[in-house]
Amino acid sequence: MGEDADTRKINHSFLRDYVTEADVISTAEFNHTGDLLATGDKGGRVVIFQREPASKAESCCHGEYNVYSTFQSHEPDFDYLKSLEIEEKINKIRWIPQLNAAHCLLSTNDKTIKLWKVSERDRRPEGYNLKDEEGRVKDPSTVTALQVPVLKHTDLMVEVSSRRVFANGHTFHVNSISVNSDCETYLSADDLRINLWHLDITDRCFNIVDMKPLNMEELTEVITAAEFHPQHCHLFGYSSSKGSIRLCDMRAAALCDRHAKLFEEPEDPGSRSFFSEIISSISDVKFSHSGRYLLTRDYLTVKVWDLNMERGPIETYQVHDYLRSKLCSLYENDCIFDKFECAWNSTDSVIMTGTYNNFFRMFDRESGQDVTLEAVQDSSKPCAVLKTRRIGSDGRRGGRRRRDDVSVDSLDFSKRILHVAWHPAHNIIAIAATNNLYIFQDRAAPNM
Amino acid sequence: MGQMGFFSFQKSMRKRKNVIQTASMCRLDTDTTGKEVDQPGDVLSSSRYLLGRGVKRKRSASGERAPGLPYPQQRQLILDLCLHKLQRCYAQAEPSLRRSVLLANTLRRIQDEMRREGVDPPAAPAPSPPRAPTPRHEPPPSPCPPPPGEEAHGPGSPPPPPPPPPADSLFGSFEIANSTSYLTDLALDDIFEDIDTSMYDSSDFSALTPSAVDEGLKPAPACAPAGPLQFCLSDLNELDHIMEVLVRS
Repeated sequence: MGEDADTRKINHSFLRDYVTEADVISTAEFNHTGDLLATGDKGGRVVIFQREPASKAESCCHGEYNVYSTFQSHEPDFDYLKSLEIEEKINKIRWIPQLNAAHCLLSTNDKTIKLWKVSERDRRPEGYNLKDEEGRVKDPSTVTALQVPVLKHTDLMVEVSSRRVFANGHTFHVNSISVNSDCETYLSADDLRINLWHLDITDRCFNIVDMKPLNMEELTEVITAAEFHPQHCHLFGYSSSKGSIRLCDMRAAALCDRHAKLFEEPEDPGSRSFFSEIISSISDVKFSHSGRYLLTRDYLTVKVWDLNMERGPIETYQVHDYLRSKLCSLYENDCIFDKFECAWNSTDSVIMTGTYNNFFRMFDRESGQDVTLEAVQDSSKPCAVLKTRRIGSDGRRGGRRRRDDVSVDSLDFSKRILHVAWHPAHNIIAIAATNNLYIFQDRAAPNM
Repeated sequence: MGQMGFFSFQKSMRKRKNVIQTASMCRLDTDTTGKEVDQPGDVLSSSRYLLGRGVKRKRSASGERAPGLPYPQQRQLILDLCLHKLQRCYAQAEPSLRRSVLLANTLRRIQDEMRREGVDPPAAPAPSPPRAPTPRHEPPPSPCPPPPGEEAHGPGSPPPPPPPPPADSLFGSFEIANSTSYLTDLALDDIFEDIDTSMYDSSDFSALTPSAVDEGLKPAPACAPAGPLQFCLSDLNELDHIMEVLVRS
């Protein structure tokens, strides 16, 4: 990873541009090959993009992503018993490893998880004997010769069908789903409970974690994210609002309330403030592709944990430390409760997360370098390089300011990049900036 | 200074469904016009809890607000914000549990700190949901005798005087104000208990009734120090008992 200008050449595809609330993107996920990218929005819709095969002219450039299919996954619902609306916003999408020609994905809103099958149809039979071209039944007496129907190519049709609906498993808001490496089961986590489902069974699930206290008034900790280990089908991890991660082994007990490992960093007494707990709340947890490490995102940092060491993270990266002195204001306007996601690259050497002002950050674990980039479209230069941005330091502290530094006070806190995804094999990233989806790729080193 | 620029961008923040537009983005010490969309006109509108209405704070020379304030005022500001946000939480359709828990923990921490210093902490806002209780809004299950509990705390703290009566009576007034609504909710649950529930979704229903009803009616002997989410009242316990007798007979 180098400095600005030339080393990162980007193929810049600007794919969606809406202004309504329902179009705010709420999740983005590549499938296991990276050829498909699914996004969900607040209106309950899922849009799937497919990567076109790269043109021969630009050998080092990957193909563009174009819309493959759009469907309404969840509708707004109403809980009559509690007189509450259930939002149709898609909280998470997870792809299921492909077993046949069709692609399957799980999408969830606050309460219900659905399994969708996406299949292509590009042929249809023609030449029936008893039906004419429009499908009307022919009079058998007019048939003088027999023909064998043949399959003819038609325009590609993508059909999406709902195959399973996993309802009524949760009384709190579902925040995570994760498909197991056994490809048969998956977990869903809400604020207080984690359930284990079988992909084929919708009327039953197993509760594997229950953090609900008998007395709700004693509640002090909630589950914020959960994920299965990428290789070990019996291991899963979940993060909490108190900044700890628990690794659980499903072989140990049916109810995994007792963790196998607890990852917690002792609080630094020097940096304790009123907001210590709020900013330590973990908003996302991701296992590395190798399965050896865990990546967590809290409000100000991303941390890498080694699964073999519970007492603290092995690496800590400051995402936007200049906000540390602004915590009171961020608390006032509720920004302090924003939940940012994080992502690994394919080789686990670079981690990425979003921040405010449509900026996102990348940290190279090997070189220690980090970069801030802006998700913005420059329509005059469709294949422009993303410029490195810098948040200007306070003049009072004597730091040098460059001319195009962005000052902390001019950051737009409504432009937050909460959802990010990294292609599983290549250096292609998807960035969701409110209503817009950006896909960037690294032309300099496309396959890392 | 730059603080102006920091706040002015908040106005373009997108409106979210079911979320009261936060106007606390404006500085709290400025005018009261164009403030919060909703200000419920209940006990919480008393001057003690008003935010953004004439709460005076010093502006330090550096221009950064909170760090420039002396610690007790800073703490008071955050405490007020906590209460305000928790109150808004309860007014929402379905509040985020994570947010409520984080706010409650922060509030509890500040309250504990204030108690240790012998300062009288204001009580937590009472949830008065207009709807049937969600799992989040379960009625307080463990009533404890508040006055003896509070008084016991008094002699423990060294120089400051025993817990001043105003705190208890304010706390108590919240309870009384809310016991009616809790009672209504409890009564509803008792009635539902007798209804044939086969048409309802079993898991949704089970989520509501056992917790709401059992915990509400179960008399608990524990006398825990009143936290922000615990609203103890011996009156409520008696009323629970009466309701239980009336409905179950």
